Amino acid sequence: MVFFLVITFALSCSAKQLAVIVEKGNPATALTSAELIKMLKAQTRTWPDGASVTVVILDPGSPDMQIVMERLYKIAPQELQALVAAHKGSIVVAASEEDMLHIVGSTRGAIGLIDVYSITHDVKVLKIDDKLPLEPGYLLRGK
Amino acid sequence: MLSRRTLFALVVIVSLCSASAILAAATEEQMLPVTTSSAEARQFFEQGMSRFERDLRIETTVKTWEQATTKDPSFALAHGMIAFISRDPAVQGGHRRQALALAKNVSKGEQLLITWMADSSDGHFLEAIADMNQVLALYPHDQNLAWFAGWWLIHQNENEKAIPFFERTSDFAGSWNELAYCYAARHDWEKMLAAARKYLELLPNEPNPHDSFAELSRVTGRFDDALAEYRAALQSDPTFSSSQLGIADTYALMGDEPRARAEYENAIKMAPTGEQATEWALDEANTYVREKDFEAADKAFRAAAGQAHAKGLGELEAEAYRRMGLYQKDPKAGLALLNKALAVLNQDRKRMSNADREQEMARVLYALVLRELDAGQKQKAPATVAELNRLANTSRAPAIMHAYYSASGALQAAQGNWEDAVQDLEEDARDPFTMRTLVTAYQKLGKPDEAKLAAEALAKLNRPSLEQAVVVPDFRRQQAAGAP
Repeated sequence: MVFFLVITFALSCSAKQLAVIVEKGNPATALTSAELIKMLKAQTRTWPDGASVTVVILDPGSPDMQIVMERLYKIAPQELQALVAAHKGSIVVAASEEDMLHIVGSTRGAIGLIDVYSITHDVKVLKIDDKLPLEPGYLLRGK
Repeated sequence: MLSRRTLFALVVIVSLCSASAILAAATEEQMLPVTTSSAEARQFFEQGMSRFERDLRIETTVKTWEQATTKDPSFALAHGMIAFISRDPAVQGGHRRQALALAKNVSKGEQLLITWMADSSDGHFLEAIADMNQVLALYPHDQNLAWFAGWWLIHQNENEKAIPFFERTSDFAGSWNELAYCYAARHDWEKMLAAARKYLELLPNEPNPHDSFAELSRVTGRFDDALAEYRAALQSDPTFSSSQLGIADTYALMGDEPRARAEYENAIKMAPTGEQATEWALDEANTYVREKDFEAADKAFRAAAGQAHAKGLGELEAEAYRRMGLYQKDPKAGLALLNKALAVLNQDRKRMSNADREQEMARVLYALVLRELDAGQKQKAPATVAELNRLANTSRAPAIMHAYYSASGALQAAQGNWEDAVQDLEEDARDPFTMRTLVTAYQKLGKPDEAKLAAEALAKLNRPSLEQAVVVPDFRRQQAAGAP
């Protein structure tokens, strides 16, 4: 007997959702997916309050980045690596989720994408296209 | 009234954990403090925690924790835990208020644990996740806290994320039980059985390890093993009603419906609450659906609905009509029954907990979408999905989210939007109707490997539910006849 548990028989790996996180002092609360894509591609370099955008991502080839690659960058991992190399300092590759939380939480203007189950009170979660993670129809979800 | 200073002078800070050698070795600073002014209350709290971790017996655990709050009415964490695990809305509400009011008097860690549970109950899941991560970071060596995190993650359907927490707390017998179910969810049958065996080895004289082993055996189609283990559970505790229910469910899945009905009758006599007795009467009614004796099924479901109505169990009355709505050959008759279920949920609001009512409402709306599509009412289904979307936006309980994604996926599939359908259907690859649509969607998208996997999973689904009874036996027959 296991209380509440329904064996899900996931057909492969379980679904995952990514949260878009910023430093707590960032006044932004929401972005459109178009705005997010421009930031991630270093096409938008500053926030409306003037702070410089620092994009924090995980290793482009890692499984954790698959949703970001498919839904937002829509380019091959090698192309993203080239983009990172071309924008040193404004696109940063974090070594781990802990590292990402530390960088985003302590850097003004930083923005990162992380498994929603890893968020802490040290960062703020932004709405994307008017939806927060775990809301129906949220963009950044997938296997 | 005691001043805060005096109160704090009286407070006994104790460790949550005392059961294992690892815990004994950990220093007090590494453990989540538990604030209570009574040593007896602390003892009851620890007993309850240990009981809960061992076999998840909610009623026994709640009673033990209630003894703790009787000894120390200011015991914030005990109030919080009762509020979180109790199934009785009246009990939940009172203890929750106490926990939140008393939280200001306890440690930061306890405050975070209390808000984590409260945020989770309120559907504020982002806050709950942040609370969880913060308290885990404060007390990374607290085994009870790690176990609780794993347990909570399972209830968010995050089995994969729960596994490391149970692996870290393998000194607790109950962790092996949870691990077995987590491995089952990822279809790792070897590890599942090894974990279930380990749980059985650690607690050979208790009923729950046998009951779990039985359920997991049934999942893999080993029905005789399941029956033997359920009987072993009942031998160790003849009042262990869930094992009697398990025997009935197993016969139902084996296709021996008359025997299943006799066993359900025995289970109903043993049911600890009137609510469970009615729920099991609904399960008994499913046996007629398995026999395709829909007239007898209608009669049995109507009797169970009447019983639920008489007991003031509106959500179970609605569930009876929902189940009927799903197997009616005429979709319009099904729609009429589903609308009756909605009417019950709307009329009986005061007698139901809001959370239970909303979850049943979501399931009824999902069933409505399925039957509207069956009835060719393609113009109505989008409005029903939109209604479910509104519900999912106000309450993000996993059951509601799954109903929404399943309904949305079914609609997308009916409209031929296969890519979008797959994205939604994969969010709830547990419902037999969803799984069946997913097989078709993968085929339409030219993904034969995924379609094959989904078809195999559906054909092997041994869950004693009405949905399984409606979908799986026919699906198996079609597969055997060579359906793609």
